[in-house]
Amino acid sequence: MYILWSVYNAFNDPILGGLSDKTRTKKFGGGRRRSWMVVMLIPLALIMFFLFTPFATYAEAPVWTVIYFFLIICLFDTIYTAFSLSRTSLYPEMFRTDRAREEAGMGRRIMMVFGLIVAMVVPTLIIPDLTISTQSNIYNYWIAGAVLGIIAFITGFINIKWGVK
Amino acid sequence: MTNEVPLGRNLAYATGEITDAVAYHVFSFLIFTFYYALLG
Repeated sequence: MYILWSVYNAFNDPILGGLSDKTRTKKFGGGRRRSWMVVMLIPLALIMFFLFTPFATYAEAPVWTVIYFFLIICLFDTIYTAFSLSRTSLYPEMFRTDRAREEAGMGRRIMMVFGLIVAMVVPTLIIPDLTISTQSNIYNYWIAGAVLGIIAFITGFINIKWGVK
Repeated sequence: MTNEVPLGRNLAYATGEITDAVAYHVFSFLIFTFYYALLG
């Protein structure tokens, strides 16, 4: 599955990059990058929850679980790439000089570290043992996915609303 | 010394790094733990 996903990813990234580059629209606040970010923000938040909802274990439905896993990681990758690629492409487009990039880069690095801390700590607060295979622990993953999805939505919204020129 | 780009915009743009980091981490760590260790 991981190999198949890697092959999918090899085509997914350049295709979405090309589409983002070629986008011309006045919808969603205008701008080729902003429009992709606006369209992808809610799906990104939602799919962080649906990553964990195959509604079966491998022992109960092996084929379905594998298919769900493959489809959901491909869908996640598409949505995440469309959002993140557009957001990252804004950096050289919004911050044109070395000084502007230096100022923005400092904030980026601080927030990236903060984001990693949040991403590491929040799941472990919600899921006491990551590997216990019980239904209640599966629900813990659902809650973690929902909470992290909400965090991603709020921070992404702030980025789009006030951080995109 | 004044900022070339308004500080508020810088901070708001930087906040998007949290979105990125959280989403990527969920994908690269939690999802594989979930499917391989928990469901599999």
